[in-house]
Amino acid sequence: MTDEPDGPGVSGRDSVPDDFDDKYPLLWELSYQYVRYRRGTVADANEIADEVMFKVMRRWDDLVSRDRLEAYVRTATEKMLLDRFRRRKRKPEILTDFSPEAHQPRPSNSNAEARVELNATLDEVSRLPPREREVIISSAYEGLTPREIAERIGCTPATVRQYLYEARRKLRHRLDHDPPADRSPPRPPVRDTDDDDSSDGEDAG
Amino acid sequence: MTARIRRWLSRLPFRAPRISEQELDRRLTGVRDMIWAEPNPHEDPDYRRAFVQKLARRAGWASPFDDADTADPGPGRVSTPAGLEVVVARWEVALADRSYLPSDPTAELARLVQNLSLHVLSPGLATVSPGEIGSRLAQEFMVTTPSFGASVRLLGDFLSTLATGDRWLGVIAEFSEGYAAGVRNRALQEQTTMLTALDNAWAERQFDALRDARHFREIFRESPVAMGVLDSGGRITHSNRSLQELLGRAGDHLRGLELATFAHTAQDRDVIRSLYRRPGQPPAGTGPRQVQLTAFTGRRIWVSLCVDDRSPEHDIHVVMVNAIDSMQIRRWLDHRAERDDVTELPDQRSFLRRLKDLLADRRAALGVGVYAIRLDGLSAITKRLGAAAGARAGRILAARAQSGADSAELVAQLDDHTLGFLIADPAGWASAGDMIKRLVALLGGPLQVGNDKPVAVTPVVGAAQTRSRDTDPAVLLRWVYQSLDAATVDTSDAVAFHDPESVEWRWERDRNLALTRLPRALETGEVWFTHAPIASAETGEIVGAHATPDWRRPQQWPVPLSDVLRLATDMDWSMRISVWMIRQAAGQIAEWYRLFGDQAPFLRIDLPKGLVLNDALAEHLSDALRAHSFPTKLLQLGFHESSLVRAGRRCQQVVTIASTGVGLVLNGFGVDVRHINLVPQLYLGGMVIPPELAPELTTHPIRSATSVIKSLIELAHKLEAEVTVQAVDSTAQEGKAREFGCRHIEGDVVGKPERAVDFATRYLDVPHDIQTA
Repeated sequence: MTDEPDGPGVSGRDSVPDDFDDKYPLLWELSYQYVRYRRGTVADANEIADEVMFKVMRRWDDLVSRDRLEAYVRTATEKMLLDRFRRRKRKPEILTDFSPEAHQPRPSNSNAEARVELNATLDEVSRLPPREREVIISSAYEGLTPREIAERIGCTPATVRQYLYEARRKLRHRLDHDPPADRSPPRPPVRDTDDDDSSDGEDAG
Repeated sequence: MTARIRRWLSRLPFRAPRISEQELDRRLTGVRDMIWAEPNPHEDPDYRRAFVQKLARRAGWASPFDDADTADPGPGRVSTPAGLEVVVARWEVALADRSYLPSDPTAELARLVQNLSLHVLSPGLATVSPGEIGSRLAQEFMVTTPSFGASVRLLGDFLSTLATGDRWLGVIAEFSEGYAAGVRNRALQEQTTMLTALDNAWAERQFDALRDARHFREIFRESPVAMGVLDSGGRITHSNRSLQELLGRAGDHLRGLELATFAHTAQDRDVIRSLYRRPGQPPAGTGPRQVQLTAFTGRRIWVSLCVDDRSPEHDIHVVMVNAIDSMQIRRWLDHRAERDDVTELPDQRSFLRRLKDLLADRRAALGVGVYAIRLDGLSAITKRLGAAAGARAGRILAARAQSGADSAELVAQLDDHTLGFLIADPAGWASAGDMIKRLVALLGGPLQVGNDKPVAVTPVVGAAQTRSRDTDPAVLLRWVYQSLDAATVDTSDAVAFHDPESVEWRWERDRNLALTRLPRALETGEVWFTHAPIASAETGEIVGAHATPDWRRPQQWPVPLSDVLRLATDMDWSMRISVWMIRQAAGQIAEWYRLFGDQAPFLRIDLPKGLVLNDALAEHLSDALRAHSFPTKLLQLGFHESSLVRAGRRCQQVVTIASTGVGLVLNGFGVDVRHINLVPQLYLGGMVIPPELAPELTTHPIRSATSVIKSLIELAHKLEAEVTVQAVDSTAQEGKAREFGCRHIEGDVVGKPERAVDFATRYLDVPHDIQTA
């Protein structure tokens, strides 16, 4: 099975494109943040973003000529992230680094509570149904307008607002006033699993 | 089950209390900030270089950093990881050192530096152009020339560290051009202000003369300013020599004539009469007012007129100054301030003002739209052939734009290489499409700008429309620029220079032309099918045809149609082309069935790869089948897997289409098929093994035994599907295909693609007196 997005084949060049080094850090960050917002770990985000950059480099000429760089990065990242979560579901791994703090400096006592609270928020966002999760991430984290989100996920701005309303309502209910002492690991955001009865799960990808 | 229970529980109301909206926003923002704060190791040039080298090694490519000198940012410069704050702080100091900054500009400067950086690293992400930044520096920050020089040195130093290559030079150049344009506009504004001050000073002097009756009498005779005395009815009683010269008659001829009768228009006459007192009304002394008079000689003169009717003798004192010079200068300044220097077209400011007026008008409900054409390559002409040639090219293109834009309310120069067209009425909308096509052809034509060979630019079209009166004109213009950016292919300067003689440029132009004309070509029958024969592998008999679209006028646009179709797929024209192909194929099969009955061959068409199967396509297929009479199994539709499978599931329309009896064929079997487990659910009648795998039809004893094609054919047989192998070019391959159990073959050994008439004549033995479609 391959996880490569649809698109033309690898270009026939044999050296790194001249402008690749200039442009790729922003694309890397786009891929990295995409994973992190969807509750991927820091290690996941680093690995996937690196892998995506390899794919981007090999298709550079074609993607640049079609102005598809960012769209390709987003699609490739999404597919690799889903693939990774699927594999984990089939064959669970011992996730010693599931928390982002694993690759971060150890937090001081003063900001430890804040980080726990933010991680709890990120957990709850990842538990939302796929469409609502995408909408809240696009709106709150990436700063897109309902119209831009609608174009991205293929629905009307009014529907986006409805999703946004629902997502915010659920988050407000589910997020506690006090940070929880203990939380089970979040459910990975696999969209097409059998136990997800959300009607909009089919539109992934 | 646990997940469902958890979700169900979460919806119950007793989960309250919930957090407030503000608290939720705070936490979401906190998450974003937390992730943004995570370090990006690729900001470090050394890490970046090592990473790119690693990728290059993995791909087996040469690394651009093999020569380490090219990537070294060098000592003493502002390194990238140092961030923008240092640069902003230094820039602010440089500006404040030699200019006056009225308020704290830190936030705004940070935004501008960020945009300049993005133009170097990733131009698509920037929101403010370097030119606009330069212009704002001149007009809003009012920086002095030394400040600008310091800015260029500092920013150039910083931008050059962001990336290898010389893209930063282009950004600085555009930034400087913007500053120059801003300085020009500032100078024009200053001249206008100066002129207003002079006018006011003149008016003051005239009033001075009028305020003091004694002084008025003293200077009356010898004054170079036209002066007169009127009676209470506005008739001239005395006139000095200057007034007589102005009106073209001696004093005797003027005496008794009402001054207002010299007014050129009724409006001017009313203005003059309003300046002096009516019987029974208080004094009305005022001025100056500018009116147009007609002298006895017929000459029209603009004058600045001041009147004083407060004298106890009820005389009216009048002073007039020739205002032509002042008005001409003011008009020239106004003209220059709103026109482009080179092309004389209205500039962006003028365009925006007109757009604002239109939006405020009730006609906005009918739709106000802006088309923009970016002249890609114009700056490269200037760079390569010099400023004079660039200016000449700009003037020629502006003239062409004006001549071709008959539906536009206004044609303007939005920036150095972008023309704007304002459409504001239903008639304009109706013909806008044709106008744009005409403009693309006109602007893309060869330009003779010197003694060198002709050059040309590539027009790129962007558009935006609104029906809301609340739309901000600047926002609408930004949409247009976004549309342009989306349509513009990222071109380096070397490519942007379009030499009409070069193959690359011709290909680019032809591709754009073809893309523009493809929809029309589909409607007018300029695109047609060629038919490649398909033979039975067992008997060699021709049993079908594989139809692919071709262009009727290839000599005009020598572009491979497959390339055009790929671009059309990118532009979401897949559905349009698919519908056209299905209709054409249905018509062709009906014709063959009428001629040959049960002996008619089947016809296979390959629908575009980007096609998304939906209800509309199923409807179009049903319509085509209803419109023509033939056994539906004679039509085979070739799909790529991506059209039949979405998100790991079979598209529901597969059943709808299969139920019509049309044969579903899976293309790219063995190459593009990823969900082999779904294949049994796709109701496939056949599978096509693509040309890439044809070399597997080898007679080599060992490779033959392990041939991929052999395995694929065995798999297809298990799935009860017929297999067609493409690109069978030799009898040896034909024999192998037969041996492997392949049902149909296609390729040179069977026959070349031909037009429908030739195909039928060659393979189907059509009667000569019957013309095929």
